[in-house]
Amino acid sequence: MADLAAAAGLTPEEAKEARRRAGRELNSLEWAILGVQWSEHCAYKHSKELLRSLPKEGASVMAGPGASAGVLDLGDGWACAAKIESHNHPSAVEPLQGAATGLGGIMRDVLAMGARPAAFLDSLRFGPLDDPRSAFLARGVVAGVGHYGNCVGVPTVGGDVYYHPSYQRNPLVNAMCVGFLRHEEMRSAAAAGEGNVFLLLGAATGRDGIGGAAFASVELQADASQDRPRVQVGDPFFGKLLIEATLEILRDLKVVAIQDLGAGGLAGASIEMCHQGGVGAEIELAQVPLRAQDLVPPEILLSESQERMLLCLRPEDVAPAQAVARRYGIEAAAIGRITAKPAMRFLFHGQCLSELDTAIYAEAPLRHLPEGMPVGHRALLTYDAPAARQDLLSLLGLPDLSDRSPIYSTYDQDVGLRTVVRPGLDAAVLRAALGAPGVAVTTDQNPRLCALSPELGAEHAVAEAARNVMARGAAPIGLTNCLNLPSPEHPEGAAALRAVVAGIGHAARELGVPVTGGNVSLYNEAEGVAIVPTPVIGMIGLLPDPEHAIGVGPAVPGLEVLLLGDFAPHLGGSVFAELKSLGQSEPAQPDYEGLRRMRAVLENDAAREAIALLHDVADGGLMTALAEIALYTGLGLDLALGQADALTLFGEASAQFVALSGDPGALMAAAERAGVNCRTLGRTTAGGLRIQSDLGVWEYGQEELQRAWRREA
Amino acid sequence: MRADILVFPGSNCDVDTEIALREALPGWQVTRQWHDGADLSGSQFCVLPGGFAHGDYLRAGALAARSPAIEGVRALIARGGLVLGICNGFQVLVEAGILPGAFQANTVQHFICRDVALRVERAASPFLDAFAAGDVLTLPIAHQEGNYRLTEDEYRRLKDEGRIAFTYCGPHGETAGDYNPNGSYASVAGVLAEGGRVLGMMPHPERAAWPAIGRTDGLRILAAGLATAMQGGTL
Repeated sequence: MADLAAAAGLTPEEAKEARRRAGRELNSLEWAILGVQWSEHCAYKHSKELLRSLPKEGASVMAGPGASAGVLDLGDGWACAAKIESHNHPSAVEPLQGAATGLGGIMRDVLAMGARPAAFLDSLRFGPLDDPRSAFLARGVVAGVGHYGNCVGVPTVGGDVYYHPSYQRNPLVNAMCVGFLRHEEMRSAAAAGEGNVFLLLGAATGRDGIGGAAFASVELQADASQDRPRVQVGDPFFGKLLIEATLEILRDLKVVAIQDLGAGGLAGASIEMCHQGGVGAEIELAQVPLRAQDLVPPEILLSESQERMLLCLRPEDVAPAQAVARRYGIEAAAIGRITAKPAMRFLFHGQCLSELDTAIYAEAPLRHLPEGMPVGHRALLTYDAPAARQDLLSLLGLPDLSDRSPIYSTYDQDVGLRTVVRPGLDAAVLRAALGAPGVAVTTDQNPRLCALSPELGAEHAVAEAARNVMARGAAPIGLTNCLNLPSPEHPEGAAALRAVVAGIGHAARELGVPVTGGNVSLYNEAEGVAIVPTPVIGMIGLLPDPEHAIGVGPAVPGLEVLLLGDFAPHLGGSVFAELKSLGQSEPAQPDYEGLRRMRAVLENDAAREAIALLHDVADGGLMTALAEIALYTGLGLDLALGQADALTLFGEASAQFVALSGDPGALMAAAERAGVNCRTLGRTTAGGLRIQSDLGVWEYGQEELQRAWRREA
Repeated sequence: MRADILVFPGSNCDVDTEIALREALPGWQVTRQWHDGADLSGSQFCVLPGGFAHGDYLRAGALAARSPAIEGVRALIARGGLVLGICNGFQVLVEAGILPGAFQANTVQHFICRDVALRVERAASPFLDAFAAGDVLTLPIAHQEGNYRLTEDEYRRLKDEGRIAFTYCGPHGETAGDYNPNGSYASVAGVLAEGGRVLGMMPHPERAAWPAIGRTDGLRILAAGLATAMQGGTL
């Protein structure tokens, strides 16, 4: 019997604990379910304790960690549901379907809160593009995001991408979904009411993706192609029908509880819904609509076939729900009923295969993280105008800074008519509906900083995400995080996990932004190479009037260019230091006080209205930020920078912005009141980018910048 | 007056089109109708919206073109009503034989979503009444199979009959240069049926019907024809 437990991926201690709790030996079905439910992917057994330390409280939080997705109040009765999740290992094996089902899975989490999925963001990490395998994976993943998002009718409005050798064999695909709902439409996953019915809605169940959660909970093997059957297959057309049918059922009927079928399939969803509601269920597996008729009970329970939702309904609502499903041509089967006794009874053609307390499955024993430990040095150089001129062009052409439009122009960015500002600069802007409030959304993390210090890197990820939504004039009100890390069973991995959670917690507290949930992806290593700790932050910024967000109107020649914030750049962890092989030193801590003051400036209506465009100084420093403004607007900039050296031109700051303004007086007054330094750099023009400094004078034509940025050299 | 939007399984621009039509046609009744059981008998204007009808798993638009709802569209055309097929809706009209030509995958072999410039051609149509030939509009495209194919003869005939509505172009209306986003024959972006009352176009006018953020060119397409249609009194 011990081998059944081991085959399910449980340690001898875990198997012993399971027997102790059950008071008996478990059968093969129970071991199989337990193997999935107690996997890292489902149970968060290495990270649960740590994650409790993150701040969860906030004035806007309507649902936080533990719910299918976080929900934030936007005002006027509107709310925003958002969550980010990883789909790394499947994407390493089958990039197109891996990425596609990553979008589908996170979309259904948002749907399960009662929200209409309104936008995706994709945060991607690949090895260097000159490696053919990395280029293949990058192409496949981008195609997969487009394949699913475009067809399902949810626009992809943002994201981020970095290239780093540690991702060569283990790419990262993190997908975020944002949805909108009215307050009264919010739903939970807590099943309730003895005699209520479990309705399985959506696609028929097949053999795909069996054991996917367990696959995500071990290191990738060199020949990962044999794991292909563990990758699920998405069908965005069916996903679209599922969205419409689900929202119609939620609107017209009294749905008691709802959850999507993700990791652990039907077993996972039913166990979690019952455990949240403190109830049990009796489920007849013969009632589950099958795509392959010869599926056996463990396969039916553990299949991760996509495009399925589990609903808990009152008996009288079952037939009306089935009528809606029929109209959309999708399955809706009553497969079980809720019992007061908190136990899961699984039946097959009336025969009871298993009865076990819900809590035994749902409460995995937690694992202790091994103790562990990390890095740095520095250099400097003399500098002149010709070098500065060339260095900017070189930076713009690096894969980490170059034009992202070849990626996002393959995504439908507009469907739904909610996209006020499309992807490109800082954060996209969405409205919840016609005339409703909206949000600015972004994902961020910088592998260079995280490689030097996972903790400071995590802090900077939060700071950068906050800056990006602030650049649209939005107030950061909540974040969702996806923690991509190597194996927690090694001391370094365990230390990195602790460090990124500490960093996010610290930054979130400093900025007053609650963490509304997210996802942990461990075991991101392949062939002996561990990824750089990659805590991706998805940030939601509130915009009461999204159609008047900063950057919606056109920028024109003749605007004043201003630099806001203390000019305190660092070369530690900068792209410039990498470009010039300077050696890396640990980055500085983000300037939280500077960010709080900048928030005060942006809370001033007159100051916000005075800003035509706002862009933060981040990767590549001030020069890159200025060039990006020229590239994004098509305008020229005529600038006098005064004292300049490599540090001031290319050092990276954490609380600094460049603003374009037609009414600089209002902005300067607000900045002064908030204690934010503000100085004029020059004006926008119809020409190119012209820099005057004590290094000398140099210029770029718009065409020249465009060519460098598009890597057309 | 009533405008109806046909909704196929996999249509995903139907709600967007409804929002835009309400903006474009104040006072009109605007409804979305599920294709199966759709009744267009009280309609003056029918829009086939964008999306992926039936997943486009067969040829784009091929299954939707065989929906019973298409008979209602033909009847509406026969009584002089207006029909607009946008993107996937254009593909459906072509598959139904209501408009000429055929579609292939974009020459770049992937989906493209971005703003393009469109030149209004010399054509008589209620949809083009707000424009003069040579006007340049900005509308977004969002498609994978937008490479519109015509034979040389078909193209000449359409051209002679004034049935080319829009051509992809540069910022000043020029067609020489690299302004054809998908490889369409002669850069054709939209065509009319005989009589000018049926328009099929790949760009999305409903996505450029948002005055608050300065996107309005699509609004003029959705609204323009209708004033004329009402004056013309044929409906």
